[in-house]
Amino acid sequence: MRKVFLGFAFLFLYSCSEAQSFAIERLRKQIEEHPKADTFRVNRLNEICNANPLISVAEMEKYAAEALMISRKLNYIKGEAYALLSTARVLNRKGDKAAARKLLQQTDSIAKPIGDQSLQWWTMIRSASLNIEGNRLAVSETLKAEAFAQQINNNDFIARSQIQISSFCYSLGDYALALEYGIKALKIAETGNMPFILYSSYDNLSSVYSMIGEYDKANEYLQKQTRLIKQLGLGDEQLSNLYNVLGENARLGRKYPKAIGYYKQSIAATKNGYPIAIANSNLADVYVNMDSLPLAFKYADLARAGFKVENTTDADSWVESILARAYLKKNMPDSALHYAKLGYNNASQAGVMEDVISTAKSMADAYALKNDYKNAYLYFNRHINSRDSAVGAEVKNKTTVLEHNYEMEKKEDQIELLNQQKKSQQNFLISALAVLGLIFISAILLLRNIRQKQKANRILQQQKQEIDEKAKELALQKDNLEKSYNNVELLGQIGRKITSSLSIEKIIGTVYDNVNTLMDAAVFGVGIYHDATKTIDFPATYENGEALAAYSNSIHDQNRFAGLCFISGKEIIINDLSTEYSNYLQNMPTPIEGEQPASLIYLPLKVKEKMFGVITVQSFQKHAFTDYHVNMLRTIAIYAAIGLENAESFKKLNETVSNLRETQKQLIQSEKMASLGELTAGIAHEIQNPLNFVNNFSEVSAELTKELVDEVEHGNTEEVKAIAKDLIQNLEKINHHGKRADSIVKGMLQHSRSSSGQKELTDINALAEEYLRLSYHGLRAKDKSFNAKFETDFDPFVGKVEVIAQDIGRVVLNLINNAFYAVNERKALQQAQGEAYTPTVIVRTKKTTDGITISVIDNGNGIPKKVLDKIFQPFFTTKPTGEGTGLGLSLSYDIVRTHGGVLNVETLSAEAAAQAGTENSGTTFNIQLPI
Amino acid sequence: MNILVVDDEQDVQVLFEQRFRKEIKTGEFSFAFAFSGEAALTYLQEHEHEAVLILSDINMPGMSGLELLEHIKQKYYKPPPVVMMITAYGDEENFNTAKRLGADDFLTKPVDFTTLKEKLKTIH
Repeated sequence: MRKVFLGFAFLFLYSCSEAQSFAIERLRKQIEEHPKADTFRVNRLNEICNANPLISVAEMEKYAAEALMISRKLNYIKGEAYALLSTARVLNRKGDKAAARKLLQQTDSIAKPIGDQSLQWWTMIRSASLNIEGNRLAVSETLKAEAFAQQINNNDFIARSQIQISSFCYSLGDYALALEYGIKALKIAETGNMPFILYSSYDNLSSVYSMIGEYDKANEYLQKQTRLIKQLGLGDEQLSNLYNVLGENARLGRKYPKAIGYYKQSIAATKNGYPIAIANSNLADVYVNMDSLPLAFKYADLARAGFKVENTTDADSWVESILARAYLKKNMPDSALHYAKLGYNNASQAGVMEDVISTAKSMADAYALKNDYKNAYLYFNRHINSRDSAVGAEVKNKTTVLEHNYEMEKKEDQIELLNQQKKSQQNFLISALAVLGLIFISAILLLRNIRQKQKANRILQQQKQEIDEKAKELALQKDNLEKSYNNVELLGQIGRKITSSLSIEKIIGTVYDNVNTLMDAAVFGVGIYHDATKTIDFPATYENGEALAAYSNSIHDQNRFAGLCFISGKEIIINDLSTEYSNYLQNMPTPIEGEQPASLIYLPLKVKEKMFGVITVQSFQKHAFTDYHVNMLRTIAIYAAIGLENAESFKKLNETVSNLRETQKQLIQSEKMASLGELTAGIAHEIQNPLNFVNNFSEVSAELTKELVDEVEHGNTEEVKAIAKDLIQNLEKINHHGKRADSIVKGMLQHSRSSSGQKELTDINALAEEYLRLSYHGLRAKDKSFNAKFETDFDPFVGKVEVIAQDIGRVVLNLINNAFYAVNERKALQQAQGEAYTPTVIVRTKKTTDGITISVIDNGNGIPKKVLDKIFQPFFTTKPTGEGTGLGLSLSYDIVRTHGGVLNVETLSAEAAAQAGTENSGTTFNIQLPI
Repeated sequence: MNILVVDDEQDVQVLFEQRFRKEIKTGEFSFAFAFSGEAALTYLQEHEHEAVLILSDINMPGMSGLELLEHIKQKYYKPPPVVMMITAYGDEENFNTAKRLGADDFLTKPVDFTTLKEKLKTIH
């Protein structure tokens, strides 16, 4: 969307929202610091009224009034004249042109007697500006001001006049003159220190080149503007605007990646919501053109929100046209139609041609998709009409500029020639050589002239040809549309029937039924191409209403009509097979199934250049098919192809869905195995303890047994009893620790198995304790330097709760693992900074009024705000690649939800903690389960 | 010699009592047991100078063995008793920390009782 930013050149005529530049800032400061009512203050007040870019009307009015008052009080004639000039400017801007003209007559009558040439020029230039927009008089009056500036030999005034001429011509649509005077001003500005004139001439030139479609050239000048903006202090908003125009030119020149870069720079340059929204909307358009629909929708939403905040409806039709095209690409004709309609109405009301063209086309396309050909035709015509007038205007602009440039070059060449001749007369001695040289030069010049002329002619010719071709093409399209509209009703019905089916067999059946009602289809078949076998298969061919056996043809079998039609993509229409077959085949083909026909049609089935197969209708009569039949069959072939494409997409969609399900299952399993891996080390450690006891107690028991034997021999009954008692106790211990190891192994197996889905009464405190230990020892075993304090704070009233134990266990384990990971990360950071820190993880259970809560609390670095809303998303992980699956929290969330519970998080990130002046960052995950 | 064993696994008591069955009978060693770092400190306060040697596990819920070691060596008792640390992980960091905090020896689980007996006897 470009209209808001057209022409910085207009700054000479209009003001932008917040005028700023170093020049203006300096003047404002001087005025502020010099309150004394003297000539110095008057001069500064007058200067700021003439400065660039324009200050607001209110500010200008205030300054002009003060300047007038002080200079009258001081009887300072010159100051008064300039104040009147400024007042006239204010009145012009307020629309009171008559009053302004009176004041300018007054300044003129002051300037002439005192011989103040500057004042005279200012009066002329301001008078020219009084002409209403679109009036040629403005140009001719400014030309007079330029002539006067030439006369008094003031380069600054000459260049300023030229810029104004260029701007007026631009607003009149006279791009050739606008270009010429823009270049003149540029040449002067380049010789002296006139950065603002330089900036304005770049601006005029880039605007003209944009208008005639020379986007690369336009961008060259825009780039130069961006480099000047800092020097002039024109502010971020202006820079943002420039980047947006750069982006627009790149977009219109179809250089999409470049355009994206510029829009992003545009966004980065400003904090103002309006230009950001504009750039976002333009990004959305580029992404639609690049088929990146998710990004397109994202930026369109951003833009819409932005415009809403800015409370503007200027861009409505633009955003709606983008959305309409995006939904079309998504094959959602209803949504596309909705936005296209809105956009078309808004654009028509506001007179935004670009959006009218685009939305009319979207409406035609959407109606066509919905098989509403009547409306499709209507809007297609509207699209063509509006586009023709726009394209016509652009071609006209370009042509006049080209012609003008050609004339200019011719004149310059003539001047050059004359100069050469003059020189040759001055020096007779070398005149002979010079003449020779001149002949040579003129020959080259003439040749160049001819070439340029030819080139210009060629371009013009080419453009004319293109226009003619376009007109022809449009006429043809119109014809076709009209013709097809005649059969639209009937075919529309058939088409809906065919395309509504998603099974290939059903499509063929429907097509056959409909073909039968339209023509003599003694033989009818649809051949479907199979890429794997490179064959065309005819699953169901009908002969006199009877289905024939399925058969297939190789596409490379060139003595078959099916293969020939498929490979060439061309229609085969034969009225008399016995005489015409030789036009296509070497030998008379023999039917694979059924009888030999006398006339036949083979049509390719294709959608968007993709071949799906062939359709054939054959008759035992010669000349059974007329043009009418062929036309009908063509339309049916298109429907059949669309139907087949739909069926294929549907099949692919189904495959994708089942693939996705399979992948999801595998992912869940792999997440389980990953957490099992983390567990293994912990389990090994946990088993170690009971095993030590088993070993030790059995060893001790062996020793005791020997002693027992001794004591029995000595007949020491008391001692025997005591040892036997110990032995029994030891055996109990061995048994106990053996069972302990057993239950650990069972727990591990349970964790790896898919959930049985059975809820059972589970001791929540025991479960939490078990997984806390497993997690801790698992991490210890994996990373020996790992160390953290862990505490439990269990509410004994929690008791047993009905849950799927291994699922909830998995959630608890996952949260504890994360907590340890978090404190370890912070520990590394604190150690690096040499600060004291005790990594601590607390697992707390609590009975609540309607359920229980298991909390896992850590004092790590917390979760930054920007990732907080993503942590429950699948595959989101902050761990380095390969370390986390990004599924842990997502699965945990699902598990808690299937238990009817809630998994929530409270966190204080390190950043937020630092801002609040505390070190107590950390995270608490709460599993809330109902009872 | 009075030895205080600190470990959160309560069965160590039975195990030690049986493993040092003879030594206990002859009065060569006597054992006391604490099942957490906190309990060990309470015991030491109540029985000052009685424990000549302390055997402590490192990984315990609540006060860890290393914290206990720090208390004993730096804060309370003079002259400090001999402290041997026991851990399931023979890792460098724990070893260094224990040494820095003044641990006299370092044992790795599973404890080899024959070696332990020899060590205790040399201290004795």
